[in-house]
Amino acid sequence: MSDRPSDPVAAVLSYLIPGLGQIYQGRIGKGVLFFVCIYTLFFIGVYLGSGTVHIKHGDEVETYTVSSNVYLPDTHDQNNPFNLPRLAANLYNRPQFAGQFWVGIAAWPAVWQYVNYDRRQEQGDPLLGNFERTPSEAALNAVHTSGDKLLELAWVFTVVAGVLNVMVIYDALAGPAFLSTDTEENK
Amino acid sequence: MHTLLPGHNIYFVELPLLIVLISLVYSATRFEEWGAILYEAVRWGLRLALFLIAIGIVLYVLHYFNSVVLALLASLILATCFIALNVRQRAT
Repeated sequence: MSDRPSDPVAAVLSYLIPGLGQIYQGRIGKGVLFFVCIYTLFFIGVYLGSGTVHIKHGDEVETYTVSSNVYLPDTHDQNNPFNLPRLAANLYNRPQFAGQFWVGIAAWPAVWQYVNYDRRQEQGDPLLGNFERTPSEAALNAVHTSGDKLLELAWVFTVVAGVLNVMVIYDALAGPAFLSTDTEENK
Repeated sequence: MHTLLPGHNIYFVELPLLIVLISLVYSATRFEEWGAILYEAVRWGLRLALFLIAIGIVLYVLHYFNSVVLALLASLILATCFIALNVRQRAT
């Protein structure tokens, strides 16, 4: 374990954008590695977890779209077996978001959509549209039943990206978990 | 639906990508020198791949010989392998 002092500013920067804290500390190579790897995981997950399907109902063709798999639905009134507070109940119903959140700014649109979400509202947010907004149940069912299993794999990518960023935040805060003998001797 | 490459198998594109990226990030949070990071990443990548292959084999066998006894046997073999690996690592 590194014995250098903690660096909370770098930790916050690494939370906001993966690797930014390391770049701020001058560890540019590692910062870029974290940035590229974590954002690649996250945005591939978002890409795989979105989709549009067209389903024929008689003569009409209905279009269903899921814009992202990073969202937190407001479902506390539908399922809350332990009488949890609203946010905790919603996370209980979709625990994936507890992992996805740690990717930083990239998951904030989901927080914004969650705070401002209105099920009756057809149009999405003026700026974000439906990006990271909870899709309708009909859209989810349509995309799940008409698509393949990539939706399931997609949230693995986004959750893994978020959870890995927790380790990146710790690396920015306290340094790498192991230092080589050479580095220890140089101190 | 979106895919990374059209008409491909996820085991040849998404899964290897996942293993490579996880190994690299994990290793970079453990070490500071690039040599150590890459060495640890290769080790972790192989471990992850072997673990997933082992799980895949167990599921494949269960698919064809579905029985509780077989599931218990497979779990026992896996547990023994991991305990043996840990004991060996601690010994070295």
